[in-house]
Amino acid sequence: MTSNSAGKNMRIPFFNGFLFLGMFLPAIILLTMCTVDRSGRAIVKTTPWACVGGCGAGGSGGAGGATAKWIGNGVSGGLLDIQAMYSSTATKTSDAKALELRFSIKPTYTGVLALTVPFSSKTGSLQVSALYPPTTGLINNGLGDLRVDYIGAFGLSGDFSYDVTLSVPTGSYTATTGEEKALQYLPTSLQLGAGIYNLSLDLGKTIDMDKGIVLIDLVYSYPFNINFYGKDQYYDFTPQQQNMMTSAEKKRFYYYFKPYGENDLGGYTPPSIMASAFYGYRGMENFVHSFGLMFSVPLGVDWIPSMQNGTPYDPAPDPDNQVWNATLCYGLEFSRSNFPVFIAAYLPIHAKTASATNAQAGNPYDPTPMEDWSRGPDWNDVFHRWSVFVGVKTSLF
Amino acid sequence: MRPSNFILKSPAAIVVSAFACLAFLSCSDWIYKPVQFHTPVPPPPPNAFVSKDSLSALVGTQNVKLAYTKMITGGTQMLYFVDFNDSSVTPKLLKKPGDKQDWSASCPIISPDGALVAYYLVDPSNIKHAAAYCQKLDTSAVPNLIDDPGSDPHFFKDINNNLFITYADTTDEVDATYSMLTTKHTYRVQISAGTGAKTGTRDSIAPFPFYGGMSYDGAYICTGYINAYIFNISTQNFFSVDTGKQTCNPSMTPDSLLTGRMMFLNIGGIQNLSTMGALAGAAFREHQYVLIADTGNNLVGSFNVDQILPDYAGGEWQCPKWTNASNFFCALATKSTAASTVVYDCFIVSIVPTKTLLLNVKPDLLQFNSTSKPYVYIGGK
Repeated sequence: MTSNSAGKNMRIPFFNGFLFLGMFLPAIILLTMCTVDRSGRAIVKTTPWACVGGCGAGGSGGAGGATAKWIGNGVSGGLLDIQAMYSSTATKTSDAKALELRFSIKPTYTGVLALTVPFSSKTGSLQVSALYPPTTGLINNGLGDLRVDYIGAFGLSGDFSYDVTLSVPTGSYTATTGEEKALQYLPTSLQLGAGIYNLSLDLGKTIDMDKGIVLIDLVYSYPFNINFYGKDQYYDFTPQQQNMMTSAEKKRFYYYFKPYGENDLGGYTPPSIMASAFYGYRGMENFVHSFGLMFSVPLGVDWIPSMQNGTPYDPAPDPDNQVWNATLCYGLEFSRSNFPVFIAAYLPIHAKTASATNAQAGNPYDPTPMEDWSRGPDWNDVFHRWSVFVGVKTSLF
Repeated sequence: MRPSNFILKSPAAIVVSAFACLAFLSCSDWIYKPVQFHTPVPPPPPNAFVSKDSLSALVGTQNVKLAYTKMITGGTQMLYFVDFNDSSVTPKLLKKPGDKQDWSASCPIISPDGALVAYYLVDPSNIKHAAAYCQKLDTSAVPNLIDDPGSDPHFFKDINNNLFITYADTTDEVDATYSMLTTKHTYRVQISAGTGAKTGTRDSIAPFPFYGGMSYDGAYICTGYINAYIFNISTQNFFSVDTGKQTCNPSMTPDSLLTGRMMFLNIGGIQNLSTMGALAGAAFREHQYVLIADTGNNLVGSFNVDQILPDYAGGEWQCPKWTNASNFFCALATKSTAASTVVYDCFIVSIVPTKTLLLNVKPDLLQFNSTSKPYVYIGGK
């Protein structure tokens, strides 16, 4: 087995993200505080069931990992709440371990403002062509895409909630491997970040029941991109070439803002919608069991960049694009007032991809085969990918 | 609460409204959909080529064609040709297959009648994956796939004037014991002399990948890059050349009589050839010599860039290739003039007697490797 260490060619792509955070985070905090205070009506849900948020669909975060939805009593009372969630996600070709630290405060009586800091360690393989065996043992470690989110409650009894999450591209999406003269980008699933911003809106409804609770969420994710340099950081063209481009082509490389999720390598993430329903059972003292189903649909096809570093800009539709993705979820909180522990197991079931049936053969730039809903679930992949989570919470000050 | 108050004062209503608007926009045709991007290819720069009179004085005719590759911004090698018969001698861009615009072209070869060009394209996502093509030497000609994988195509015309292309089905080299790559082959396939399209099925002519083409009589093929060999197809005998030394740019002689000879570029150090005369034991500089050897591993020709091109003394040959005439080869000469630039020009070298002609009389300061793999066709040879 070949052991490779990725990341030789990271060019601080996360600078954009930190710059954005530094400039706009204070404004976001101020804005959200003012907005909630002015409403004056919303009553924050004070039941323990309110301690949800930062759900998986909200972050771009690079692929290959997952984020659990903590359902339980949680912890409260301090000025600063801290949640640490360790996850392990396995697929047939990769293994991702992540630690997410979530720091949250309550700037108002009705809202929660949180910062999530993810760290990942991903192991997998790279196969650039079916003609050659894959390169195995690739490893990529580091910081992922930071997320800032604000949760507010509304409704007569605070049984509705909204969660606005912004993820910023602080994780590297350009890690490479291979010989110096033939560097190859790691697959998207092994990158730590997505290279784009993502704004997600989560609308939630809580239904209290005898010994239990039902949580229903609808999440809309909208990726976009900001470039403080005004031009693509990896591709440049001569003035003569620029003159030969259409205006639409130029906008791919020379921009300050893209109202869609295309990064500087040409990787594209479409908007997506996710619906989820969870039932939490609190019939056992000091335990909360939860069962749920999440169903996510991207409103387009992912495009992936050319894998060869230094070669022309050549993104193409992702043959592994999933037209839908469902996840069966189970969680168990060991409810302790000061130091609750949460464990969970997620089992995804997804649509059969184009690559699973070689449907993408022909024109590799035609996304039509990747949009086909008729292929049904990929039962062969069930149980070959799953995630387990272990999380703790505490409250300080 | 009246609806208007709810909308104006409730942040939740704003969130819900924003949600609905974004969802609506996302489902509409306004949503961005990426499309394939083709790197713009500017027209080739106007170079001043050698005069027709000078060319005729060296090779005996103005019917000369030059095919070569040139890198454009972004890294893709494009394929060009120059026809010195034209009233205006300018480079012309050849077409690539529609779905391989971003693959890099390499090692073009012009057919014995000057009408076709064969070459291979390298997959940008995997530089070891190549596909071989052939087409008319015309800017509007559509490429014909010879094979995928396929690399280093060469033309061969048999005694019945049937035209073939020989090629390898890999880009990996033969090792010192030629024990590896036993699943790889050198193939031969017949093509149409009019269009360059395949007209038959491929035949294996050697159970190893050879990259230097076939001799005039069809008896020999040669290879290099790691170890150099001449291979007798009928007897299946290997002849090791410059044994144990790495060689580059193998090229089989087009001569009709002295058929078992190959040309190659040396790697630095003492060469392991016989009958080297005054050069025996001399440590060569990297790419200092273009060498010719026969099946007995005898040195039968050597071309020192320092002596042949004094302006390039201390520099290197690059990409030497036997032309279709056995008394000429073409090559690039390079010489560093600064840390990151080299003088990079194309020459025809007359083998006997030794004299040279600069094809491009206006030297360019180009990024290394920006122009490469020249092949010269000389009409009537």
